[in-house]
Amino acid sequence: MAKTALVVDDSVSIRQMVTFTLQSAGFTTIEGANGVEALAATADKTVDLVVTDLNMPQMDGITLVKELRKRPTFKFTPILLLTTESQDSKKQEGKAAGATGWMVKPFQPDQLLSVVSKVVK
Amino acid sequence: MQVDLNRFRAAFFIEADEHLQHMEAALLQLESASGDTELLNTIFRAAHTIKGGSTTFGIDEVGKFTHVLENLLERLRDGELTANSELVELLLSSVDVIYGLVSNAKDNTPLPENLHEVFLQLQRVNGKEPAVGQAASALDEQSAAITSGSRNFRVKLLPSRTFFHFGQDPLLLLRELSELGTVLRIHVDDSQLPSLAEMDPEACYLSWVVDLQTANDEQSLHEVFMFLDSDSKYEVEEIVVEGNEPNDEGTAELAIAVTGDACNNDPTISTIGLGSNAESAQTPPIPAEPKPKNEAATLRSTGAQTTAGEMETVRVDRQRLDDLINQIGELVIGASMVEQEVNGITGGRSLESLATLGKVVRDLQEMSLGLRMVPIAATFQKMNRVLRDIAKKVNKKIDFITEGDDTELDKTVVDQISDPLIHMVRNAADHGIETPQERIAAGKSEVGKVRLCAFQQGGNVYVELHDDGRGLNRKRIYEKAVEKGLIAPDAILSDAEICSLIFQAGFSTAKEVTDISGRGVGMDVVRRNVEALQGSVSIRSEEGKGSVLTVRLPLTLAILDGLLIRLSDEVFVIPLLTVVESICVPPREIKTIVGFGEVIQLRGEVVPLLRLHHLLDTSKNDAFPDQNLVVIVEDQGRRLALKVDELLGQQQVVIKNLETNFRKVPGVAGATILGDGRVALILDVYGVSTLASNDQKTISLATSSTSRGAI
Repeated sequence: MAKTALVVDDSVSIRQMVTFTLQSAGFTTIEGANGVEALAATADKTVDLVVTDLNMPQMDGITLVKELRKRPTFKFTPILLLTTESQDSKKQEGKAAGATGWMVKPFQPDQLLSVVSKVVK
Repeated sequence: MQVDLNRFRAAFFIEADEHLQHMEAALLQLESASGDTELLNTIFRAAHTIKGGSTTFGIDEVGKFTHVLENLLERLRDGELTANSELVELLLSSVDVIYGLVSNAKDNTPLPENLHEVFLQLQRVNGKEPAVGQAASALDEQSAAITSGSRNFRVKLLPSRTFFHFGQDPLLLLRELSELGTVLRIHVDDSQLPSLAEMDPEACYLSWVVDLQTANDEQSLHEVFMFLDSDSKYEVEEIVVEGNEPNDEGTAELAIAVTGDACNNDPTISTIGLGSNAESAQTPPIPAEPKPKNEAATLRSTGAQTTAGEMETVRVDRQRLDDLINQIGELVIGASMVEQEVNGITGGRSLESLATLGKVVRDLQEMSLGLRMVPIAATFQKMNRVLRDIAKKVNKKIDFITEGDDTELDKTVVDQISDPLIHMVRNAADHGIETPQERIAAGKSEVGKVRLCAFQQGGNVYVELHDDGRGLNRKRIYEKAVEKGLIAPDAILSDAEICSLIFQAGFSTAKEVTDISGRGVGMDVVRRNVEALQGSVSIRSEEGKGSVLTVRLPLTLAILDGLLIRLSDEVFVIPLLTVVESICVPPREIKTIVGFGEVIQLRGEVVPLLRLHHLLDTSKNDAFPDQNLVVIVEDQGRRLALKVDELLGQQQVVIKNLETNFRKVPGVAGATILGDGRVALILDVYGVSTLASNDQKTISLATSSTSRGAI
């Protein structure tokens, strides 16, 4: 069974890069441009991994993490935040909200995969 | 993912080697041109790239070392330091050290002996050595991480109760730990586990203690736990085991101490040396001198040897390789010219030495062709991706297996086989393999299988694409071929002939055109591409069970098996691959069809007859006008009869490109030089047939008059 990943970012290029990278590692991907879209796209689904940006219109990453964790189906799902160097405090905020880990931008595809391998079987 | 990284690592090692060579060369130039910014930039870039690559691919020793080196280079580039001979010397030894470190990471060779010395010197020049003690401890830390073969750590993991709610998994963490080294002991603490009635199934009550032996530094152990939530705890402490371990530790420390001495207190060593010499009274002090020098020399030479041993591959410019292979082709021709001439003089009694020469030359040619051979693995890898994408697109489940990835082919062939293979793989996934529902209904496993394998047989390489899909539907193909006018409605075809209809231009049975395949440019393009590589393609298929597409390719494009023919007084070469047979046709069996040209009947099949004299404009000189010698060739499933004057024999010829020296000539694939020094043109059968159809009017006019004359 292929694993499914939810990729959330308002930047199309980043989203495509992450999607492509995850697909090349065998993931099926679901995409969302912000938290609202992500929640809608996964309303009736479960995923094996969530990768989300922090700063997005409509619903930011932290709120998305909190919303997802409320769902029984997302209770144990690994969630990775995409952060930048300057958002160090956000890491802790994200952790408190229930995120599993983070990935500091900019990153190479293989860096992403090595972080993903830390949290997904 | 692990495998992927390793593949990149191999590429990194090659890359690092190249950069180090550039660096070395630039440094040597820098000695005479200090301050040349371009040179400095080259050196800096090389170091920077090596650093980036090594950290990315987890070769931390190289990363750490180049980091310090880079700092120094940066100051050099910015003009803060000047490149005097001392500094260049240091940089050159740094290059040697990196060579050593890379080789250590690649082949597990011992670490370079002067690692610490050079590292310390770099730091000193960097001015980051405020006090000896601090530097030593900094070095200690760095070099301990670099040198120590392996250290033992005790790692404790105490997850919080809510651990799972952060998407964490202790198993993943433990696995990651175990990948860093050898787990000596692992202990689970279940003392916190409550009774079943009190237990919250979503909480974590267990904790772990892992004793790990690892060559990695402590930092990498901490990195395992980088995502741990704030309520979970972990500890990493080094454990020094009594017994074998202290020995290792001891020698490591000793080594540092000694090298430290060596660079700081050189005089001491010489004093000791002199002293000991003085004690053995009879020995004059002078002979003591050469000894260390000799040692140094032997050390250096062994160093050089290992470097030479590591150079397993050499990258050569493609053009130079092609030129070499061409020249060796000339040599083969030259040798066979000499052979013919000498045979003429001695009346056919060949000389032994000449035979030896001939053998050596042919061996040389074979070896030279081997230089351009590359494994097909990379192309197969690409197919894996292609197949996966399509399977996803058309919602099919397909397993992909490759075999014989190591099979080697001429680089030119490998480069050009990719497109036809993509077509084939797409077809197999789109048309061949059924949907999961259909498969289950047919009693097959839901997951389809596509197997791509390559193997060598004789002078050819075979690439086979197996699928366990629905196979070819003969009835449909037949109907379609009739509908498209490819065959007569009442034609009787063998099973193989029906199958090979799919290679005809404009043939496609897909019910609907998808964006993946089925535009009718599928298999005939495959066929044309493969034939352009002097190969051939065929299909075996069993309805309901699957199909096997076989592509036969020549090992190389530099040599061709040809049939030598004579037209008037000129010699031409017909690629043997296309030749079906040769026959004599009595004049009365040549018929003319109005608007179509001349034809002959070959066992009931009507085959167009092409008079090469006319097409190629050679003077007409029919020695035996009543004996029509005809070579039957096959092009894209279509047979053609080529009228020739004489069959001269079969010969392996070296292909010379016509375009490089002249221009492309329709109907001619290239040229070759024969044993007697004459030039012979190699016919392009596809080109000749197009030439004929373009020229049809003229032909039919011209030939109808000849045939009338003959009748």
